[in-house]
Amino acid sequence: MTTHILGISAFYHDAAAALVRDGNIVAAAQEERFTRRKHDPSYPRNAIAYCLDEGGISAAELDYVVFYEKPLVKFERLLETYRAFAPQGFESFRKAFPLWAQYKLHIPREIRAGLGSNFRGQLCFSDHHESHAASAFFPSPFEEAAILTLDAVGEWSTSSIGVGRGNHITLTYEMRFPHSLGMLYSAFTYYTGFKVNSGEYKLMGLAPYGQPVYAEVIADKLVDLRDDGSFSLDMSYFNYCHGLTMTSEKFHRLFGGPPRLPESFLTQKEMDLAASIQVVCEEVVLRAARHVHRLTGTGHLVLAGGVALNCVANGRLLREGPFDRVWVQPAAGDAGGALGAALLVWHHLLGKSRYPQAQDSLQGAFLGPAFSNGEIGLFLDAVGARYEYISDERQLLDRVACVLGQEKVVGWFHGRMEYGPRALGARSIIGDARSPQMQQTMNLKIKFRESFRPFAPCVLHEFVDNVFEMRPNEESPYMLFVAPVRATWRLPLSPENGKRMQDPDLRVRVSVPRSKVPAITHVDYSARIQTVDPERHGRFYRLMEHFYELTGCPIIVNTSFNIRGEPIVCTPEDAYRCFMATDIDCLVLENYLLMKEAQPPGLLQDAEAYKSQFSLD
Amino acid sequence: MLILPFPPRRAFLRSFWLALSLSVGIIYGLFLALTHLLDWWETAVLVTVAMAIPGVIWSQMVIGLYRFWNRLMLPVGCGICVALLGLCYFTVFVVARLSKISLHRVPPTSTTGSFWIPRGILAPGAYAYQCAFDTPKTSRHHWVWTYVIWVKRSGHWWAVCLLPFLMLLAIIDPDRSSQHFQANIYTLF
Repeated sequence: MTTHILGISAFYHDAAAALVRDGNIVAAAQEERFTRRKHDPSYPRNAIAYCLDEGGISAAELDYVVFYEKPLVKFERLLETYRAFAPQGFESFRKAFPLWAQYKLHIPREIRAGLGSNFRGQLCFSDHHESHAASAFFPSPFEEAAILTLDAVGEWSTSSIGVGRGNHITLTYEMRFPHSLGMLYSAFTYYTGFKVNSGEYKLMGLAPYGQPVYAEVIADKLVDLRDDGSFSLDMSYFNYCHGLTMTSEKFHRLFGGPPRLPESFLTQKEMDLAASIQVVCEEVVLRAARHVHRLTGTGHLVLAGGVALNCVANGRLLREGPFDRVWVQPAAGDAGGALGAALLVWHHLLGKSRYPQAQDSLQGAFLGPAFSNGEIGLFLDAVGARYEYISDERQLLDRVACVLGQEKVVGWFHGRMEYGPRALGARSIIGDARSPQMQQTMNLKIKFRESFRPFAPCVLHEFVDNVFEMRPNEESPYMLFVAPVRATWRLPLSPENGKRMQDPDLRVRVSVPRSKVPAITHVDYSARIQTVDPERHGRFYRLMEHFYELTGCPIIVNTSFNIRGEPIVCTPEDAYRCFMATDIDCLVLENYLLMKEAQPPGLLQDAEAYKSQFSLD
Repeated sequence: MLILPFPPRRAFLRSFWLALSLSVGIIYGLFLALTHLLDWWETAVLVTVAMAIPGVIWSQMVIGLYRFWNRLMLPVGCGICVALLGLCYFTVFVVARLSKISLHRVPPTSTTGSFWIPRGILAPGAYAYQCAFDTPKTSRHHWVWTYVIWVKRSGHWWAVCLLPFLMLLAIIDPDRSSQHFQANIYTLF
């Protein structure tokens, strides 16, 4: 008999749902993609509806629904923390406690109400870090692997280590709240003026501009770090236990002033702070990885938890760590917990066997909705768009490769939507990485941001070691590893460019070409790599092959199909709206090709009105 | 629950009007009874029925009053909530803190060793429950019962004092919007 398990993560941030049928991942998606509200934490009604639809079942056919953590254990942490700090912390308590009274103590009610009266299955609750660990190990290609989860906080755990063997994971050690690597990183995110829980990747991108001059201060004052990667934080520098800010006055005094105001000018101090906390973060990750390697003796490592999205640390781990292979869950944050929880029920609760697949069982993370040519055609006709339908794939890819070669920007919409925060070639904006203008064009005219970060490259997997300092055929299909561009691809700095590299304005510095593929090369010659292979990426791989045949370049720029603050597009409607409100030159919706200049002027959207729908991240 | 669902369905409007009619009838009846007027019981019923009928038949008439109720209850609900939360925090939590029970799950300060703490893995039997240990099938019971069982099994006896506050807040707190979740982004709870 077929067993259907629905995993849910919700009520904190990045709500998501995942459907597993007899141990196989059928579908997974984040709620934000449907509601168009970034990091939407609400009950994932739309994501669940999609998963059930993809599985061709109704709620009545669900055998198990599993929530990704234990609400009452988390509530216990909340109570214990407030008790430890009372009478301080009332403002925080005032905001947090009603949420529990209204929703979080009623999760069974919310889930049952959401699924309707037809649901007759069993409702389960897994453990937050076990969900992360399961999301990392069970879909991985390894029969046996060490497990490292690094997060902000779950119930009590903030990090955990263990081992996965066959169909079983065992987490043997943990660190507990309030001592958290995720919180430490978020504290610096807050202090440098970025948004907590979404701006961490900006801090990581800022780090190459700075020098780690504060690393020693952090190690001396804030963090008591041990050889095994465990640590304790001096909580007098932090305010997150009982306040509405991450850092305390003592922290501000230590680093010479109040937090930077959001959107204000970035100074060398913020860059140095970013570099410093990045160094500390990498050190913790490397030490913890070595420790878990000593404990388990296995050559493979799997990673999950929000900190696992720190691809600079992951890259160092891959190059320097003791493990032969490292696999990171692409939806490493809380969204991935939905999938992990569902897999835990299958393997742990039901004791079912696991059959690791040579690549992995995540299907390239393409687990979201897809749209047929028929559906897209109906939509385009309804809105009056002008398009070409190119049924022959070869002809289509030739056209798109030519458009890319002309340094035009293409919105690429093909197949199932990605699960996790990265666009991996299903909902991507792509361009020619060789173009010195590409970065500025994409940032200002399409993403509507003034970014100091370069874009990520997609590289044909057979060329990865040719362009980047990675091993031959080493995989990074989920854009989760950073590696340096090889010296042969780098460009020497002219004296004039050397001066520009000292400019206080980071946009000037990032525009200095550092390699033959400047759009994807950071100031320290690093790049956040996605390897593209035929098995996972299909048509996207073939497009890159066409581009390579045309230009001799195996790399293209890949950035998410959205503007700043907007969730990645989900439907053809979302993609078309974004296309018409930005300066994307060409839109490819499956076999439909739309050129901007051919569109009726009346359909063009006002960019300002479009931007105003989304709050800045 | 103090704030009524909006936009209202016809059944909500009818229920609201019936409840209002009943309240007016009771108050009127009490007034008559206290002033020792005769037939207070029959008169109260008559007033209730007379008031209820038009609102039940022409429920759209009630919508203005329904909206007014919500407008009135929003600041009232907010005020009561803050008062309740203050009472809860500065009595229950402060007293519990004074009892000198520490954050028992936080690792002790270590000067030499590791900060890694041994942990176990969930037993298959524990998946059915909202806490880490076996309790009766809590997911099928009312949350109050689940809460009481958790308090008993976890040993957090002081947390039972929070139950009335949780129940009242669930009824009174006017902000039922999911936007509310965003508020705790910094506290990371």
